[in-house]
Amino acid sequence: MKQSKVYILDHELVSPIALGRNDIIENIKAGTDACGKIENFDVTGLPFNDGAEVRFDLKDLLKNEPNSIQELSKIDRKLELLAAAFHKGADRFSEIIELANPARTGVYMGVGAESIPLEMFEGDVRNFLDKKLNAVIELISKMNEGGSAIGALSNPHDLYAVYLAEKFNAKAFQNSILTACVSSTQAIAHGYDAILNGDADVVIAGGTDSILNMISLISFGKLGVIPVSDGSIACLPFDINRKGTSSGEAAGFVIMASKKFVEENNLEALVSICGYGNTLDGYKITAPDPEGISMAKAIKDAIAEAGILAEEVDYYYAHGTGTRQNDGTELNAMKNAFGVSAKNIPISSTKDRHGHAIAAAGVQELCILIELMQHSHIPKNLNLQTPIDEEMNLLQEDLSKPIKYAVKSNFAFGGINTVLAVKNEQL
Amino acid sequence: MYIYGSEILLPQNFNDEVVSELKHTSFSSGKILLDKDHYNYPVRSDEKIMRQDTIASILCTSDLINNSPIKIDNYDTGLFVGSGVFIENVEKHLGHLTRVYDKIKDETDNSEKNHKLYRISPPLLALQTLTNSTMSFIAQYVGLKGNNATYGNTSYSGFQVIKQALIDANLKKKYSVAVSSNGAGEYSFLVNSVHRKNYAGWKEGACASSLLIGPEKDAAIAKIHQIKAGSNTSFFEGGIRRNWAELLEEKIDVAICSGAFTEEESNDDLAYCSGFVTEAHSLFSEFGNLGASNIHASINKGIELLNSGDEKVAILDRDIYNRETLVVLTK
Repeated sequence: MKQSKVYILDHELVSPIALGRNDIIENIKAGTDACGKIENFDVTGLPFNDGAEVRFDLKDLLKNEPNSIQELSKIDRKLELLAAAFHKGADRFSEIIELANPARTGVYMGVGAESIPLEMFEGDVRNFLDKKLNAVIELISKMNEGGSAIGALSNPHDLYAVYLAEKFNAKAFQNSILTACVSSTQAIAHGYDAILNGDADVVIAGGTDSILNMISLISFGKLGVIPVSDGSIACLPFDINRKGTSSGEAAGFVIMASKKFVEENNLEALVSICGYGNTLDGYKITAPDPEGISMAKAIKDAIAEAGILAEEVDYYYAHGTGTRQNDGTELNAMKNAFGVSAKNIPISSTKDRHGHAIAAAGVQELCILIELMQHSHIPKNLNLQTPIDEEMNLLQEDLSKPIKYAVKSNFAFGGINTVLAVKNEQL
Repeated sequence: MYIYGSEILLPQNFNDEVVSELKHTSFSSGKILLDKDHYNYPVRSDEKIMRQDTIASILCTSDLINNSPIKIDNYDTGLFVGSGVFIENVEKHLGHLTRVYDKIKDETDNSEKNHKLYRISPPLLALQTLTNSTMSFIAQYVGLKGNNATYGNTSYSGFQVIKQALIDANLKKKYSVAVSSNGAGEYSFLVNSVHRKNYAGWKEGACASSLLIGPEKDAAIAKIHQIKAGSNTSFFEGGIRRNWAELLEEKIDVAICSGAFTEEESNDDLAYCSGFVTEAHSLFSEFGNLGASNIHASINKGIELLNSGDEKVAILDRDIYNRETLVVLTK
C-alpha cells in the first residue's frame, strides 16, 4: 500500500522538561523528572500538591510582544506558554514563513478548558461578594471593559490559533480543537488531512494547556485522576501500584508540509505522519470502554493507513497516564491491535517525567518522539517497578536503537482515541 | 459533496438577562425548549452534568440518524462537533467556588482556606465544563464511533465541522455527522462582547443542529457546491470588516448572512449583501446570534429556500475575529 505522507519540517516545545526543542533529548536521556511539589501557587491544605511545572523564566521570550499579549500572558498560562514556544524558535521559523504562501498556510491548535485563575483575584472576588454580586461575572466585566479585541481575562478558545496564525501569517484557516487530552493529537491528524486534501501546503499544528491552577487542580483531583500526595512517587505508568497521573502543562507545535512543498523548496523533513486512527468509545463519559474495542481500532486504523505491519513498529509511545483505568485498557487494546507482535514492541510513556499536559499532551509527546527518532533513543518508563503485564515489553531500561516507525497514542476523557503513525525520514 | 438530512432546535424563549449589575449590562438571551418525552432523552444521572445545548444536540442527532435515508455504519461514520462556550451558567458552574471565598473571608490561614475550598467545590465541575462532553454524549447515546473532533468556540467552528466532513467524504468516501451546539448565555456574552465597544441590543440564542454529509448523490436533499474561508490575519484589530463579496466565485441571487450580535450590525450586514445579491436574508431578528450554530441554521433555512424554488443559496458567516466563510448550496 502506498503511504500518504505529510512531512514535519520543524517543531518547538515548552515543557516541564524542556525550554525549546534542543533541550529535549538531553533531559530525556538524563532521566530528568520535573514532577514535584507545585510551586507556582499555594497548594497547602489541598490533598494533592504534585505536578510538573514549567519553571523556566519565560518573560524574556515575550519581551517583544505587544502590551495586551504580555498582560494577558500574566494570567493566561496557555497563552504565555504558546507565545514562549513561538519565540523560542522564531528565528528558524522565518525561513518557512518566507517560503510559504499565506493563503495556503493554516493552523490547528488543541486547547484545554477554561481556567479562570480566581486565586489571583481573591480581593476583587471578596469585594464583589460583599456587595452581594455575582463575583465571576463582575470580575470579567471589570477586566474586559473597553472594547479591545483581546479580553484581559476570558477570551474565546480561538485566541491561541489566531495568535499563532498572526505569527506565521497563516491565512488559509485557523482551527481550534477542544477534545480534551487528544486535542493536539487531533490537531496534527486533521492538519495531515487538510494537507492531503489540498487545502494547504503548510500547517502549523499543536496545542497549549495547563491544569496547574486552583480550579483545574481541584476539578481533576475530584475526578480521581490525580493521586493524593503522600510523599511517594505520584505518577507510575504501567506499574501495579499506579494511582493516578501528574498534572502538567506545555505548549508546542509542529510545522507540517506537503510533499510538493518539501520538494519544490529542497527542504529536509525530520519525520512524516503516514497515518492516523481516531475513534470514539461511545461507552460512558466517565470511563473508557474496558474492552478497548475502539481504542484498538484507532491503533489498527493508524498502521493500516500507514501501510505498515505490526512487526515493523519499532516503538509504541503510549498515552500511559498512570491512572488505574487507562493503562490496563491501553495494553489490552494494543494486544488486540498488534496481535502476536504486541509483546515484542518496546512500550513506554513519558508522563512520569513531564506530567499530563491534557490538550497539549499529544504535541508534547510528538515533539519528544521526533527527537527520540533523530537520536535513536527509546526511553524507559522512569518509575516502573512492578509491571502490570509481564508479557509485554514495558521498558525498564533505556534502549539505543533506530526507530523507523513509531506509533503514538493519546486517549481522552469521554472515550476518544487518537493514534498517529510516524515515520523517521532521516533513516 | 451532499447533505442527506438536517435537524435543528432553535431558541424559542427570549428574555432580557442582566449580566453585570455594576456595569448595567444586559442582553437578550434565547433558550431551547427541550422535549423531555423524546425517545432518546438522557437519563437523570447524565442529564445533571449536561448543558441544555448538549441535550438538544443528542435529540437532533438521534432524529437525524433515525430519519436518515441512508444506512449508517457507526464505526465508520464521523462525528464533528462545533461548540460554543462550555460554561452555560456562571452561577451554577462557578458561583459556588466564589461563594467559598465568602465563607472563608475571615480565614487567614492559607492551608485551612485551601482545604475548605477543596471540600466545598462541586465534584462534577470538570464534567459539567468538559469541552468535548457534547461529542462524547452524542457518541454514547447515538452510537457514532468514527473520526471525530470538537471544534470551538466561535461561529467559525460551525464552518470547520462541515469542512472536516467534506474532507472525510473526499479522502475516505465516508459519511459524517456535522453537529453545532451553541449554549449562548451570559458567559458567551462576556467573552464575545469584549470585541465590541457598543453592545446595546446584543442578542444571542442557544441552538443545536445536525447535518448528515457524505460523498454520494443518491438520497441527497442538497449539494454543497462550494465551501470557502476568507483570508484574514488581522484578528486583533477589533470592529467589523465585511468582505463577503470577495468570497463569491460566481453570481448568486440569494444569500443568508450571519455574524451580527446586534440589530444594527445585522441591518448593516443585510445592506452590504444587497450590493451583490438580489435577495439577502438574516435569521438575526428572530433568533439572535446563534454562534457555533449560525451556519447550520442558515443551511437549514437555505434548504427551505431551495425547496421553494431557488437554485443556489450563499450561506455567509463572520465570527468575532472577523473570519468570514462561505458555503454555497444547490439543489
